[in-house]
Amino acid sequence: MNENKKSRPHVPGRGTLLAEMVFFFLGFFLLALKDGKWESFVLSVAVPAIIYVGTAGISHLFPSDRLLLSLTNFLCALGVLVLYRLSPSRGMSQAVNYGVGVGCMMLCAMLVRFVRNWKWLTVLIMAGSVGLLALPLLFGRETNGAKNWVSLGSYSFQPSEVVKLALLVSVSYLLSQRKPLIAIGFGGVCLLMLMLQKDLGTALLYFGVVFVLLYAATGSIPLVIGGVLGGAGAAVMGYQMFAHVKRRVAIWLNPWADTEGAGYQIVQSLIAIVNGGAWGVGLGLGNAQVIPEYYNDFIFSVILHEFGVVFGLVVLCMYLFIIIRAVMIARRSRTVFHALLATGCASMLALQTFVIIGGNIKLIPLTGVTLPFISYGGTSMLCSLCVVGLLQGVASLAKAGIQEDRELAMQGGEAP
Amino acid sequence: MKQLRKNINRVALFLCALFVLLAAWGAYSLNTYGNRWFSSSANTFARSRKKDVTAGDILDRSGVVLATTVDGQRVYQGEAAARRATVHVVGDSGYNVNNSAESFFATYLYGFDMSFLERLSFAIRGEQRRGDTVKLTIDSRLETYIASIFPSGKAGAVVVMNYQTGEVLAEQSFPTFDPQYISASVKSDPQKPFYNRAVQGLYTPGSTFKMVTAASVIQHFSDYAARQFQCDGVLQLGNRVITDAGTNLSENKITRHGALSLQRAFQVSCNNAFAQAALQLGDLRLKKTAEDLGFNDNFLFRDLVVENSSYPTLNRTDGEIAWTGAGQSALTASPLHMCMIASAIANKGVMMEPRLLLSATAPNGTQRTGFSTREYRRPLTAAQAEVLKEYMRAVVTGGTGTAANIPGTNVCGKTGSAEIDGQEFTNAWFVGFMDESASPYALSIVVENAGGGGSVAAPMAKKIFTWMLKNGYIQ
Amino acid sequence: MSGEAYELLALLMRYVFVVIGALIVFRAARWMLRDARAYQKEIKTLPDAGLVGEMVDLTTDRAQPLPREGTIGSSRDCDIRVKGPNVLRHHARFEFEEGKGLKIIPSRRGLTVLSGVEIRKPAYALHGTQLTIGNHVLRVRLFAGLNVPLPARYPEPDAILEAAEEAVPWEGMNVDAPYWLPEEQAAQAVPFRRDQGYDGNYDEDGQMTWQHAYSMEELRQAQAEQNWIDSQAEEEEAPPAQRRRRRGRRE
Repeated sequence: MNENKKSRPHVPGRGTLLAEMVFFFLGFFLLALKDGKWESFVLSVAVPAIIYVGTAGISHLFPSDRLLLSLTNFLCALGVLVLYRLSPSRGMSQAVNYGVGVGCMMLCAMLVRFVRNWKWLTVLIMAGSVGLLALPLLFGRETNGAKNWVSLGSYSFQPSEVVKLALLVSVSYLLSQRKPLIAIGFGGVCLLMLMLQKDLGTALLYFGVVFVLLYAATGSIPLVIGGVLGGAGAAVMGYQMFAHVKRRVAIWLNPWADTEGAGYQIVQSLIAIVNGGAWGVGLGLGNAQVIPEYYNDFIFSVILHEFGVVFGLVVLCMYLFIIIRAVMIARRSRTVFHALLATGCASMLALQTFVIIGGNIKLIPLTGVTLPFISYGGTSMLCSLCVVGLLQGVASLAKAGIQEDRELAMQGGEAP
Repeated sequence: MKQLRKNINRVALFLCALFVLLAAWGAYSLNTYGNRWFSSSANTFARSRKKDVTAGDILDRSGVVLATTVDGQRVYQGEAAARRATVHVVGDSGYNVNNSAESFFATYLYGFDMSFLERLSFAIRGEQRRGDTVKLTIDSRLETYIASIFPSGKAGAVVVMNYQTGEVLAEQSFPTFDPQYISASVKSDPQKPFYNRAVQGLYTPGSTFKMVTAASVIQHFSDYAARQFQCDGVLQLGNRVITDAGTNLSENKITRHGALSLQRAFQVSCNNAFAQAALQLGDLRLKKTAEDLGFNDNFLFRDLVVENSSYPTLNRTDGEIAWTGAGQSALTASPLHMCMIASAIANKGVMMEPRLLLSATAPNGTQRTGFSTREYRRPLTAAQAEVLKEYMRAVVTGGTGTAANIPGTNVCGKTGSAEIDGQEFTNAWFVGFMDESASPYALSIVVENAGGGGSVAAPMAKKIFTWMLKNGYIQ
Repeated sequence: MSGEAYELLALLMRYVFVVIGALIVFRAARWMLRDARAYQKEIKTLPDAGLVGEMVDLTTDRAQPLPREGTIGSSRDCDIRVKGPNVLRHHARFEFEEGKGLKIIPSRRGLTVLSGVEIRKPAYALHGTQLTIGNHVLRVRLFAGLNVPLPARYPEPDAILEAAEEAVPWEGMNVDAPYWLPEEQAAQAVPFRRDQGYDGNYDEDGQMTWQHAYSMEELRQAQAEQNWIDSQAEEEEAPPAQRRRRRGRRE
């Protein structure tokens, strides 16, 4: 309003960015005071700088959604902070993953922004993703009861994470072309292959996303009922078929039966949370390393342990805001495909967060799904950031649409 | 597009609801189960923290020091008899007793509730941090006395509580051990001395469950006083046979009571009459009353971890239902829970939540807040409680529990002799209270494998009540 | 740094972390709300945001805004709602395609007629095309400035009859471009420059006019002139002229 008074144009979210930079400066500086290593001092300057570049810099390069970038960057940097505190080497490699992930995010955004004809690309993506999912069945190695990793030399990755993106794009496209049967078929094939790999957490995620997209595209009530029934049936079938599912459910129902054996993970997670209490035990003072997989599945418990439940609510709010923002982007987009794509991204992030945090606090049985943006792991980080990239692409398209409308309105001008 | 946007709104609502569910469940479970998780023996964090803090003292209700810290060592004070009597409430430094004060009140004892300013003041003064002093509701003298009269060599439990406030005066389990010197033989004892039978022991309540059956009859049949039950000594229901105490079918000895009113049946503890009452009530009504009185409930008391009592829900044949009415079948209850049921009858139908923590005081003298008397539920009306009280009085004046009678004091009670497969004798039960407004105390006694409730447990109740009246338990 | 001092510092810092975190959440929430409000405001000033034109129901003379993609039918959730006999709940779908026009995708069961010819496969409608859904006749009107082929002059009713009698309907007519074509041919349609739009107005006789839109230079000049006139009018303290937006419809 008072544009004349301000010499510089008002940049939205400057305060948020500043607060984030201060947060991570203080966080890493505190850790540096504890261990006195020069790496920590460097990080206390470097991480805020990365956040600045990742938020303000990228939005100069590409017409992206700054709010989404800002929240995503906070969560990613929080992951780096927590991992660095628990094991410095993992923290460092997570920082590298973060940098690579931002690049992938840009690529995904460009893809959505500039690809016009998705028909052949979708066919390609579908074929590719089925191929990728077949890889672990052929050369996979089994970890934690699931056979979902593929190693390429020294580097290993989870195809199911990559296929998440493919699923989002292809199912949204098929549904926007009113081909729900092909979409259901493709989703079913992916689900079946995941079941064969015993990766039931991801299978649950895929089911949830396809189901949400189907509902959004068709809005039919019988579909909702059928989906819920089908999901329940699949859950019961999975329970009957797989011994490790039975074991997980038994642990979920009463982890205290065997606190040293099967229930150890979840019991230690709950104890870590309750030790933290409302305000946490303090950064660098916890002993969350006693939780197995503290850097991956249970990283939210670690955050609750060291930063407290109140801060956990703050983090939960950030996830919620990312979801709300994604839904806003979906509502603003002009075409069915992009709206569905953004909805799918929102539901993917929300369901993934729900499934793993719910597992950590014993709301649902624990499944091996990572916490987006925070959990340690290259594939997971890359995939989460790519999902944000897809959202950025849709957002930039919506923005371009508004710009076009403005031009058109000007061209139309006033009635003579 | 219009419909799509609407659907997207709904999807967004669903996704937001998931997050609300997460937050709500987290808050609920932390609030309800947080203490239990914290005091779990698997909590290595709390244990590692205890090195830096001098643990606070544990006192009984009259201020007698039960446990203190001397030069970083936990010391359990008093005579050996007193130490042995209070060990299941106080606990031991090795955390062998689950959910004892040492672990369950660790938040106070080890200063986990200390605020930042308090910690700062300790740091400035350069002292080691000290935990709070915790005052329990138990009375170590009473517990020592109870331990002295409990039949030696027997396993069992005794609970004494104030039925108006819910304060637990004694909560004992036998056999017991000395926390100061834990010998290897204690650990290998087949009777498991570490096991706190008062709250963790799930016993078949036997005839003491007839309090619940009688309560259900009074609640559901308005003509309960006029009802007559016919006891022929033996009642065949399917493959189950209902018999009374003293009946031995192989020796052809059969106890018969003939026609009985509900009060008379309660007085003489007639299994056949209560089996008939249970069949007349039906499983659902009996279950409803039992659940009102706390069976099948998830006990979430603030100060105590009590094992949940169960009213069986599977295989409900007529024979099973009939035996349930007489207190056998697959019923289980802890001695503390039976004491709470007696308390509800004594306290005009109001069941108080049992309390063990009287107060906690910070080293600088500040009182921690948040400890108060709390009602658990109201399972009975005052009139129903009055009728049951009369019945229980009749048991002591002219029934199975005459051994508990104290002249000049209104002792009410119910005996029980629970048959356990593979045991030579029955478990002796006595659940009762003093119906005196000046001394509102209820107790429950279980002696395993000892004989009849009237002959073993009731005399103990008389001794305990007499001791209490002599030693100032008159308000 | 000593253990005790670090412990106290870390204990203090946990409050700082929560405060900064809450601040970020608070600012993000405010940011999101402001952004939503600004977007709403922008949409209000651009009433045609996301629209490509309108559909006029010739029976009821009611115009409905035409989004980029959507459905036609009698159901409440359709973007273009047409009620009447032989109209299905979801009768047809449409998608705007740059350089081609409005693609009408008929459903299997319903009767969908584009310019007097029943369609079974997707076909393109341009400005002025008549679309028959059941018993209703709709006219598609596309905004000027869109990248669509220029339509033919709308033929007179008897011209349609004549054309229908002839084997080759459009031969001999003076057309600039085909106004509806099957998908394959429309793909080869000559793309038009942005400012060569069709303004979609009617003249006094009720005939549709079609003329080239102004070039940007002309527009700016006209705008400047208009501004000058407005400022003159303000100086004269005349009541401000109620500006009529050419496309003043709300979503």
